Amino acid sequence: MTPDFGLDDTDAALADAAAQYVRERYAFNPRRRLEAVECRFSAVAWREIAEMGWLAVATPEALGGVGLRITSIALLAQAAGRGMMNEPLLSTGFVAADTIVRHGSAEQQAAYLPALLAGDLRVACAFATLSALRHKDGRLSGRQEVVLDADIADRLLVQAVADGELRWFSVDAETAGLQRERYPLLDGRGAATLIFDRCEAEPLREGSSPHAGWLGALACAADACGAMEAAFELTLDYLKTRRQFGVPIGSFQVLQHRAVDQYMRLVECRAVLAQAVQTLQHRPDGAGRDVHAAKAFIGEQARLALQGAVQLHGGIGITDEYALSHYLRRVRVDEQLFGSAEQHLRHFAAMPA
Amino acid sequence: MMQQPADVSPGDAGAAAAEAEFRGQVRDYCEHELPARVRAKVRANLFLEKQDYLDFLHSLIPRGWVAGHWPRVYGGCDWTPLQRFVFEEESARAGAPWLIPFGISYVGPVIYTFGSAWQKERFLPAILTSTEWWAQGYSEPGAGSDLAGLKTRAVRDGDVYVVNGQKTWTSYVHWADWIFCLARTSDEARRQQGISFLLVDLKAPGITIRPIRTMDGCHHVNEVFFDNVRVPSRNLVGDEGGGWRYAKFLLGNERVIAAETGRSMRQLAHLKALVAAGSDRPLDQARFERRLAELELRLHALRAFCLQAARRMEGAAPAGVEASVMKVRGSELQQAISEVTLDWLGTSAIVFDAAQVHGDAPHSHVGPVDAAGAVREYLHLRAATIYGGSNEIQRNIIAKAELGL
Repeated sequence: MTPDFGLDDTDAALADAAAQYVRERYAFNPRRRLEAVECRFSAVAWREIAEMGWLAVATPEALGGVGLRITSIALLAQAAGRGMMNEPLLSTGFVAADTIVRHGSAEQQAAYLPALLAGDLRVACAFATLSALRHKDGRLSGRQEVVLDADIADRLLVQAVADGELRWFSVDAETAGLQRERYPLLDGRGAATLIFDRCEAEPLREGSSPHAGWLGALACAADACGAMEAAFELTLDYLKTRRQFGVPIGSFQVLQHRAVDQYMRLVECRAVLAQAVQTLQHRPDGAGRDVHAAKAFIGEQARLALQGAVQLHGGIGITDEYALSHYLRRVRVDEQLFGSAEQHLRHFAAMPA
Repeated sequence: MMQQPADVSPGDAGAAAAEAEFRGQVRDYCEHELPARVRAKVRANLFLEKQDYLDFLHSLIPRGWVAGHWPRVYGGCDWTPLQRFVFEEESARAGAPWLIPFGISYVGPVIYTFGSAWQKERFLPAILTSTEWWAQGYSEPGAGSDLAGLKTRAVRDGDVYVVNGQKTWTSYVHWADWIFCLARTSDEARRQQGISFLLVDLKAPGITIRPIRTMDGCHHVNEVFFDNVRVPSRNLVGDEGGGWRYAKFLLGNERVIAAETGRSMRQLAHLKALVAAGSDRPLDQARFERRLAELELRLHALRAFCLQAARRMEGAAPAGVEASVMKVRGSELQQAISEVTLDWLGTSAIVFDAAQVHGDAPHSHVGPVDAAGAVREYLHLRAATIYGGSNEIQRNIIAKAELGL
């Protein structure tokens, strides 16, 4: 399916390649038979993802990437959602890369970006929350829960309060004094609680642009959009093939109207996403409102759509053996990552149109 | 399914600047030329008289904007679908009245697309100057959602058609000079065949108009009775029996307008101002702010959808399924905003006296001075999910045309 935002030739080629790759590598039925740990992270797939250049779309050409391409980020995230990809594409390829580009010193960029782009360095990012980490006397302390991909990361970028200001720090995931309590997320991805006790941490440059957070929120919304599209296709197919009372159930008007409601949710989500992509690409300083809107809107709509899709399927919709229930879990996780839909709604409403 | 051209907002600086410049022109018009008295009435949600609409239409004539979306050769401005959308949105947002569509948006395009040279010359100029008003004769007592079930007959007798039957829900026909009608000219196996599109002079003998008062206490709609009304055959548009095609063309135009984002922007801004002013129920404040945020987000999504669809449309291509989505979502949102507004107004929104919403100045016995107008708007908007093809019919259309169900 072609995304709604403006695609150039590079994006069009990338979209085709991503669709094909996800269809083959992330086909649901073979993956269902994998052990949880294999499903969590595949070194082979990660290598291929790096080779295809998917980790390079948030990094300028001068630093070895292909430039910051929001359209590419969104379409890859949509593919990731459709394939229910668990590898750390969003956190490492998009958000960590953007953070290092924006806040890393030249030395830090040289130290981390080549390895990150090559798929040799997995980086997770912990954005400050109320229980913010503190940085004092050159040491990092505090606790951060549910950090996406921190269970498999080699390096952590964490936002902490230093001298009253938020600042990014880089920490080796194996550093002394850091405890990582790893756990699976609802949808098969993973995260960790990070407990820092006077850890050594390397500061990035001062300041904290909202850009990486917006990028994460946008990519996450795109991921949910991709999951929603795939689930909608499953649902439509089911309505046309499942027969009861001697006819396809899609011939019943009550189900047709529900399917239309799903369709309308989907096309509105795609429009909201496309607008945020365009704004963040072309007018990044003023993109906050559109990005907050996308994360808030798609978060809720994708959840409602997937709940509705389960109902339209009946019993098969609630089983573990069928992809639909996994999409429901995927969008529930997406709704909470990089700021919940509720938080983004609050930020959106506080900003003038 | 759902494959759409991808290039919707190409970050093309030139196109973005042109869009912003046009929006600026519309704002300039609203600020300086839109009659202040009319604007104030619209913003207070008062009932508008014919003269209010005329004042508005006359103020558009100098810029040539009465029918900007018409081709230049017929007196329009060749507006793109995007310009048309921007005009309707910006003007409605600023407090311009509804651009009553029966002549300008409905029959006008039907005449210049399917009509004869005589019809174009006879009817189009008077629409542009607002000297002749039109009404729409579609629905009948037995033909609402099932429009093809219409029973009004037109029987050829030499060079006239003799029309008998009844139309209903006919908006503003009591202000109109002409009515375009769907009438059955023959009985065919497919009911959609054998329907013709006729232009009928309301001064013709045999026409009776009876008002229907709606729950907002106002007179918008009517019943129209045709008793042996003689209509010259040159008033037949296109082919005899081809009327269904013209009717569908027209309904496509109707739905494009129905997103009504500008009107929702104005009503939501009004509601936000009310909530920001506070009330004597401080415990309600946070809950209403949450509801406002939800409405704002729904409006954001609808606008994103409409703007991208308008940017994608080439020329005046009928909008099809996208138009149905706009109609459903636009009408649902209008109703939702008015419901929250009434909730906020509380007991001041159960006081209503139709006299309060007629006249030039808002007046309410209790609560904000425009409370009665908000009640009128709420009552009036119950029709939004019914007219123009009910939202259930729109869902049928999407299910069939887009989802293949």
